Amino acid sequence: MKYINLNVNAPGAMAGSNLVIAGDWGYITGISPIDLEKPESSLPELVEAQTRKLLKNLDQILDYEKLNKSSVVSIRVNIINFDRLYDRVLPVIQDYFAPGKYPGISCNGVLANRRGAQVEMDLILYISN
Amino acid sequence: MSEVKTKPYNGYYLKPVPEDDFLLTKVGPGTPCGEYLRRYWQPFLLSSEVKDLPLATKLLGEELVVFRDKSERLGLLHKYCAHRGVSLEFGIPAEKGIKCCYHGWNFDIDGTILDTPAEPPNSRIKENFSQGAYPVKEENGLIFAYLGPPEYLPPFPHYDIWEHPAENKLLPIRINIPCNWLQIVENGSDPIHNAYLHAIVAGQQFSKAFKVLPQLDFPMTPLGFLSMATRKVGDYIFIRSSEIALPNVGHFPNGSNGISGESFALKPLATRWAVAVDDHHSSFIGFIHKNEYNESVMQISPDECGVDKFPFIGQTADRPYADRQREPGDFDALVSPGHIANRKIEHLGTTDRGVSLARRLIAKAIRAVEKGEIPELPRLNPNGFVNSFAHEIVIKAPDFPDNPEKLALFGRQAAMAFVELSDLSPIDREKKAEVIVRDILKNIMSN
Repeated sequence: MKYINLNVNAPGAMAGSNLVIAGDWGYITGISPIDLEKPESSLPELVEAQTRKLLKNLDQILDYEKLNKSSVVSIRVNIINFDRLYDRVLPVIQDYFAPGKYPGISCNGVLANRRGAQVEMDLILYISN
Repeated sequence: MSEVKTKPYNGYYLKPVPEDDFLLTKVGPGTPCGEYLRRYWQPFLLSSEVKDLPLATKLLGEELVVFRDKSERLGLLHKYCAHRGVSLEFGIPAEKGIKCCYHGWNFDIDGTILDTPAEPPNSRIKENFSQGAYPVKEENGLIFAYLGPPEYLPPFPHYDIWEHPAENKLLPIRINIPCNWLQIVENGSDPIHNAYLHAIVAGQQFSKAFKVLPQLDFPMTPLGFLSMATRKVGDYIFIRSSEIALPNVGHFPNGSNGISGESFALKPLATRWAVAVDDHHSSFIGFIHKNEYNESVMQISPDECGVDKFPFIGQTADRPYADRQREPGDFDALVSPGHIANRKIEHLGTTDRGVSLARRLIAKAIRAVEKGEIPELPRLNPNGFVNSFAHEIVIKAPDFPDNPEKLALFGRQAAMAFVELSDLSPIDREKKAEVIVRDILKNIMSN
């Protein structure tokens, strides 16, 4: 098991490790639009902007371990106000990945996310050496 | 009692008094304000919100269903079927109109009953009544309805600045705001909040120019007034005039002008209606004007416009609560007084003149409708447009004296140039107003 923590001086950006690697598999759990370096800074207002910020955070974590987005196998997306925001979040996620190479995606409506974020994700990565 | 009001720790004596602000805030059928607002076309949804299924909606306290029939015609009917009261949100769009799911009664978009299939063939029941229906109109991605007496149908208010400049693109927006419509109108009538909420206290939301405290003025226009602020910013005088048009329309210049060059522009950033959904909920609905002028000072992405979207911080409920507390925006100022602000606890100051004026004009118009008069309506010019007056003036005046009265006088006279030239097209008005405003400046400087 390997525990990856990018910014040990910025606790609170994620509840646990940024990435946990177990064998060939990586787990990113509870990634949100909270800035990984300055977790106290404001979140963007629109859910599209929050989703883009979250995916930038993902890039940062993947870069740190010299991985890329093609290693993402599946995503669970947790959205508040599901009926209102699902149609706004999904296209941003789809835009991020190469067409035809989308990971598995499931979306759940949740009561709340950490720090009042409108969107949060859990991801599973396949890491082939 | 006035002694008590100024004593420390006097909360007990200043307990809020619940107020039933009936005249200006209650909008349901038969209420004085509701009857007044019903005399105007009101936008209530974006075209993109009405798809293949009927949509239950609310406007001016009335429960309604909007739908497109299979001939692509838009209908707006009372929600509950005139037969047995089933909601027509479960109706099935037909070639003509909509069929109630329960017994197949078919209502045309004007409410005419086309068919009552369960009744005997010789039944004349459908000739005896109809489903409540209202005229609707789609314009640039907004759906408007007229809920007033059919005999008073007003002209549709197509504003001149929608087509100005020629490449202007209107991006529809609609924000759900859980407060009474009047709070939104009052916010637009209060130009000093732009200095405090948007620049000095809550964060740098507008440009730094808004940190300069302005001279305020509220000159009248044909159907309302300008809510204007005149500032001396460096070598320039900066006049920002929003237009408040009765009953609930506003045109607002952008707040991002960094004041680095002259302009004489009838090119507001937003046209909005403060539409009462019911007494406690409103739609901030209208257009963002995407054009070169506005985009020279701010980014306008179509992605940031739509339902519960606005290309400026603090206009929706979608930020985390703590972020809203750290840097509150208009949404928080509108909603935090409660669904209907308790105006009994207010202490209005001199900078609240626009708020008072808006209330007085609306109250007067409501009373006029109560007396059976026709309220002032948007007037169409010979080209079929309604003139609008929101503008921004930035003029170089490095030697303008440090004299608030003169600054206010210049602001008012300059702003009125745009109002008095109302028979010209926006492009001609801008050109002509520039000449007049330069003359006014010379005159005031030389006196």
